[in-house]
Amino acid sequence: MARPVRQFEPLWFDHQFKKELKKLHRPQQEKRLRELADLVTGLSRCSHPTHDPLLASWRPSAYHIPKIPSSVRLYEYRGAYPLRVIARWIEPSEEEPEGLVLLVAATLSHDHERLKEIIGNFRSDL
Amino acid sequence: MNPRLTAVLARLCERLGLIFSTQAVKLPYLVDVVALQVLGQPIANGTYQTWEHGVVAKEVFRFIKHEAHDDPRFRVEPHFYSESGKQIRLAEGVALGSVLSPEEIAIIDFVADEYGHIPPEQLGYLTKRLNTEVPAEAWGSNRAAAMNEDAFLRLSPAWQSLCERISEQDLDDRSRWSEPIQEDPLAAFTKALNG
Repeated sequence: MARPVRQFEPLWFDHQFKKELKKLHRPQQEKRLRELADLVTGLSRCSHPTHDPLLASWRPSAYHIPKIPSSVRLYEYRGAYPLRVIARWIEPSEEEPEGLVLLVAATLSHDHERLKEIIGNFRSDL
Repeated sequence: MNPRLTAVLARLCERLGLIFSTQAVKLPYLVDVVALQVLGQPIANGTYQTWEHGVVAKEVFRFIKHEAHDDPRFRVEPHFYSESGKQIRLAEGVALGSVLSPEEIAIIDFVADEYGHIPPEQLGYLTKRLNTEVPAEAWGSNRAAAMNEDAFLRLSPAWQSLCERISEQDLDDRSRWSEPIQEDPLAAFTKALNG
């Protein structure tokens, strides 16, 4: 691969994400894993974390959150709903001559269960 | 302040009692983020901006600072935690009008119950986590806050928890980085899932 891709071990494929994946039927599970693998390929070959057409289908955007210094460049990638991936982009440097992508975390959960339950009393199409 | 935003603020006060100004300026934003996705339109229709400490409904800030003391429906009081901070509650014996539908009230109550008890500074972080495209240095620039589906999804407990967990990590700690993925990534992820 052109650019190394590493995983941030405390969060990438953590217990929560694995649990969400394992809840899926096998074909869905495999589809999600293939999506992630395609993203890795895209991230390893792209020229820019958000503007490269290779990544366009992921609708990438900058991901700024409190407490993370702005020198740490994080991006959010949107897979088929509800898959979201957060990755760190590191520009080439002496230490990392080819640059680096660090896969930070992924999630399949955007539950609003309680909200659905409450509003479900009024609407049946939620 | 428009009558519907006033009604939302009143309902929040009715549900929560005395609330800090931080809550009063931020909770209507959450109400409208939810309402836009669930009902197809906002309830309060405030002007939501990215202020230094999170998203603020501009009209509510102005109301509490300059107008509420002349409004018989509300009581504004100073509190001791901050020189500029205030608390607001409904005046005693105020009967709320019915400009809100039952569905709208359900959404406001949901926001009050879920987010009305979060400490004010945490509420600021929460609204920032709904606007992750906004860089740290742009908070305080009063740009329009996100009201889209992304903002709604980011409000979910799982997403908020993920953001918090990322915030707590030292992403520079290379001892926690894996070796580069050398093999087929699909094989690597299949192994990770089953490992």
